[in-house]
Amino acid sequence: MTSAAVPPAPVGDPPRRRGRPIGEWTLAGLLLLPNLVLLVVFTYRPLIDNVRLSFTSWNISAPVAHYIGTANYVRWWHDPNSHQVLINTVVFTVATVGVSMVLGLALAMLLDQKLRGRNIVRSVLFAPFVISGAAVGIAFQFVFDPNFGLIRDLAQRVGVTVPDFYQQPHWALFMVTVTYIWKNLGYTFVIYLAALQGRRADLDEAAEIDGASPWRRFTKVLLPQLRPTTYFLSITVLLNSVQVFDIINVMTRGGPQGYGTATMVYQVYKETFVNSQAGYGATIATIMFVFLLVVTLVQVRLMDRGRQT
Amino acid sequence: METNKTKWGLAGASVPIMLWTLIPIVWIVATSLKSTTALADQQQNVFGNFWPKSISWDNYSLIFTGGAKDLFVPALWHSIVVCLVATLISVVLATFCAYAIARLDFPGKKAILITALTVSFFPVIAMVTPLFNLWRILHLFDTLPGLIIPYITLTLPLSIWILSAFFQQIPWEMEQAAQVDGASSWQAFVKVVAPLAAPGVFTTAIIAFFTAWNDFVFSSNLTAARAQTVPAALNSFTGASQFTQPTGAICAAAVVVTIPVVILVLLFQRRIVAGLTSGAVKG
Repeated sequence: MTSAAVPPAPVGDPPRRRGRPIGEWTLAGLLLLPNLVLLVVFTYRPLIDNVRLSFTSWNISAPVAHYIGTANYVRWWHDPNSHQVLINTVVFTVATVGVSMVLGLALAMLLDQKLRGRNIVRSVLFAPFVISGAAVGIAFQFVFDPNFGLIRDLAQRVGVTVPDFYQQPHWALFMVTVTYIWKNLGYTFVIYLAALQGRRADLDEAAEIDGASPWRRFTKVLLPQLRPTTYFLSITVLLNSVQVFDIINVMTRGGPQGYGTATMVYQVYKETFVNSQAGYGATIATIMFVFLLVVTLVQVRLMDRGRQT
Repeated sequence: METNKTKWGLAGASVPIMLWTLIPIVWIVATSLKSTTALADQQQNVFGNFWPKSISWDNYSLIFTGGAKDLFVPALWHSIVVCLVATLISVVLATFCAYAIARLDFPGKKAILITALTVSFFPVIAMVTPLFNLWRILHLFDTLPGLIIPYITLTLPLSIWILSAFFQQIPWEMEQAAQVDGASSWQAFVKVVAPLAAPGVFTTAIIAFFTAWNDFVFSSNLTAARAQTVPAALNSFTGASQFTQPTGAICAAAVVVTIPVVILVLLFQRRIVAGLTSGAVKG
């Protein structure tokens, strides 16, 4: 980001810089205005409107929403579905963030070597990240299909029975988690690889000459160098995986057994557009926003602290 | 380190990784190329035997000219129009914004950058219901502009972020030199800065494009039949087909929607990665 902003100068002060500051301000204003208008009207305003709706009872097909105070929040707190959804969200997010970052780093270290065909491997690994989640969901429906799916087929050959991934909630959650990790791995991998290629090789060599063990070189030399990347990834991957909707909708529609694989995003969708309880949906979206805000603020704070040391 | 043995070891290790990544993709391509009879025969769908014996284009003709035409062709058309228009507008506006932030002196610069970037922390789903409500009042529900607008605001923070990072690396002295030579700000921008900025702008456009192209949340909730894009249409296939299971057609549609982004990755992978990491290094 840009360094220190210019403190606002009171009107009438002599220009402190070369050129024509007032003209520059006008130009800046003109350039920024459409951006700010769009963001304020179509993101900030809806977000605030969402908070307002969270205090109402509103059937999405009805024209008016009735103010009901904090009733929706109380309902959320006592709703057993919410508890399951909250657990699903935490499991799904922690697993996808953790596994895709660890595997991404491992793959990046593997492919950081000079290897014939490395570019092809890199492109192939990266591709799933840019494929539409809906298409990925369809591909993995067939991988996990209980009748002719790839996994059932492979397991049969070695004589293992596989669970029905679509009927048992825990396995269904496992299924969508694996699918999203498959899609997201390419992202953590290429970002880590770029960081590895931009690092200072001399530090690693110096540590090697000093006789440090490979593990110590990894933990004491490599990981600290990758820290900014790790923070960046932990924030972006978390923001993305908390919001996964396409894969879950295509593969399980939030089921089995009602809320088996539903995360908070899915619950918002289901309450709003399936159950027509848009007020309650808005409440869940607001709670989700607050959670996300708190978690990312903590992460950003940690990142800033990490940078100073 | 550079012995043949470690090289082969690494090559060996990357084989399972490649398989893990490729099998689902190959599977979906294979399924899209099967005739209905081949799809019905279990023996021809098991692992090791799932590549079609004879390639059939039935599924592709089904979605482009056959029974699924009315669902798929408009959706593909909507995807292309909506994403290109949204990408164009978003990147142009973000270029203005990033230029102002990188180059001009004005108060409140940091506040403006924060205003733009904070949006990326908003859950998209929290904006869907209010937009749905607003679109109903403005008659924008299930229209192309009703999807273009959210896609602009979806990609705008991302584009501003990437472009600001790119613009900080541009040698701005050249612009000053042009201005000393008598060019106006605008002329200096068009003649000197734009060519230098073009690669960054192009990269941003690619990333903005596939972000919009793959969106599912807005498309599935803010459109119905008249403005639906392909990712949402893929889901309508599965929903509408409980009894017929047009597996092949769904796979064909999924392959078609994937082709453009795969081409982008193969051609511009380095740029895309550079764009995605521009924030990682600088923070």
